[in-house]
Amino acid sequence: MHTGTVLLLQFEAGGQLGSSLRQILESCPDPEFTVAYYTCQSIDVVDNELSKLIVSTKPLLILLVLPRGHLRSLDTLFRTLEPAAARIVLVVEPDQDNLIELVKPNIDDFIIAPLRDSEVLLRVRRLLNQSCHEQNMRDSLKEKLGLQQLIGHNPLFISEISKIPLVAKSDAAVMISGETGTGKEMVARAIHYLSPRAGKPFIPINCGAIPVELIENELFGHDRGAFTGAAVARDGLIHEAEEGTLFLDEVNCTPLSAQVKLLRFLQSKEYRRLGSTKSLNGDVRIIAASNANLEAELAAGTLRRDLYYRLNVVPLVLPPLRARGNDVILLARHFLAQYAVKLNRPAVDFSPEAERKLLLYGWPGNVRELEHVIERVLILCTEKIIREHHIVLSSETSSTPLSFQEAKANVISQFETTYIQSLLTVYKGNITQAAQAAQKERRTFWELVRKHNIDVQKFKTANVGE
Amino acid sequence: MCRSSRQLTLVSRGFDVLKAGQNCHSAKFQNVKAVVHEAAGVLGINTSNTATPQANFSTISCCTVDALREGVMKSDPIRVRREASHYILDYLYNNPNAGDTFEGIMEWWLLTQSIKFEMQTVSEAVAGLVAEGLIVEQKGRDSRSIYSIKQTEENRQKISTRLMEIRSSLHD
Repeated sequence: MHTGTVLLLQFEAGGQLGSSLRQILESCPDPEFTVAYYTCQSIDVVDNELSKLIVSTKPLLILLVLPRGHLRSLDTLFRTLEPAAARIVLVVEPDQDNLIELVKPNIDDFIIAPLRDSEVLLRVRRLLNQSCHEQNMRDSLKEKLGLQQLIGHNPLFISEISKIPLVAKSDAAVMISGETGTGKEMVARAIHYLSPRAGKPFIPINCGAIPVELIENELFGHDRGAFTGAAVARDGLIHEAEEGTLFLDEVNCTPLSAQVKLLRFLQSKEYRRLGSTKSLNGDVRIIAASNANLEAELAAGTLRRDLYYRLNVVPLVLPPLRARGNDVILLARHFLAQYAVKLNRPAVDFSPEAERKLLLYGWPGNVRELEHVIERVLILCTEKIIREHHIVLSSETSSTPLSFQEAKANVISQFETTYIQSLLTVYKGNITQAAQAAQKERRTFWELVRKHNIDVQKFKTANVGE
Repeated sequence: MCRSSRQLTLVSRGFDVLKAGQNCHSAKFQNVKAVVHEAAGVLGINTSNTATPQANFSTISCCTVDALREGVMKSDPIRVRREASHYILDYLYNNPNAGDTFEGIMEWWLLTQSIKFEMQTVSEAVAGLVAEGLIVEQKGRDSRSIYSIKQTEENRQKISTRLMEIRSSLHD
């Protein structure tokens, strides 16, 4: 089992102690570690090459073979080693000037020559285990605290969020669907930062915000002379996201020509810049998202079915805020605390009437709308308790026209809900029969039922009552 | 939690460590000393003569660490900004290919960094307490360490005295 990298760091090429140590590490019959070697030019100068090596190999353990008489000159070196957060073992000759200096807090262990195979390997393994344990602890803390940023207790929401750590471990394409403001980008970012790609770029792009004719150029880049004005070659976002994650929001807004290229990239990891005949390889994880009804987009032919299936390997459906019950209050309190500090306001809580008002509202703009409502409340209210009349909701203000996307999403959402409910009424809550009537796969139909939080049991119960 | 809070936590325990190790010149001890002095500097406490650091400790212990933290945040935005810069640069130093929007920096880079520094701080605190002899470290069979206190009346008395010292100075 591979547990990490051990970096052997010495200061004199071909030094006897370094060579012996190298031999011992290489002789390990069943190595649970890989070994990297480096010879420093000087102990007093910060070595850029060493810094780069530490960043690239991320060693869990550094074996520092120290020349005679240099115990007191380690401080500069420790500053170079500090970002590695690795455990450090000092390996020294027995006649060092002052062995008491070995007891340094920066040093986790020390080995005095002559070196014995069993002793060295035992210590290396023990310290590697400790380092791995610390690494695991850091990772689990990151997962726990990172996911706490996605606030909510609603079972529908939790069931989707709990998939994130598992999804993050794989490299599969993910399709996140949910209404505008439900936190699709936050979920995509959580997947990225809990994945092995965490230290690499996360590039979010809203496909709906880029002019249709420019989207291919944005994604794939272009060669010099590819079109009028292309004076120099330019890399696309796929190149920028190399080894990381590309988040395609509103993927349904991608024009069909770009969809074909995107599909090719997803299948073969190859793409071409505009105007180029040369294929390039890209190692990028794609996470797509949409607030539209993708089934309708498929039916209308604006989204390629093959691309949809390729992107929809792992579907995550984020429920709208109105379907998350008490999460509205939980989130409102979170934003209240956040903006009270930011705006230096004394507000501490909501009155019961204010809470009721928040719960009864439909939140078409979901969490984003809630955040803005709370911010507005805190800007205008100087009291400690937020009351009903402090909360001004969109339906009460002069009606602000919705964007085309929002208006379309609302209409589609209403249509889907009514349509599904009518079928469930006819087929008395039988999902299979309703799906057949709708000429949809049972799974897809069931996803729609979940998306709109329709209680199937109610239709069955109604039938029993009759 | 930002680095300033880490420094302030260190202030509260750091002077004890300083007191215990006045004659220690190890790199890590010097590091702790530097951070404590830096944090004390933010609070406007003169620590240039730290021969008797406990005397200076009472100067800052009139309010809670949280209050001090808030004080620092309000009084020295430049320092807070510098600390945020430190977090971000340290993240990028260790992940030179990383890239994200402001939200990503807020939600994940700073989180990753605070975990890193908090673990470092707690590890230093534990090492300091072990060095002082207030807690003992026992290596387990799986190479992990178990920390506990020595079950002797003398040690309990020592811890009690130390706790009293800290509590009373916090309420002065």
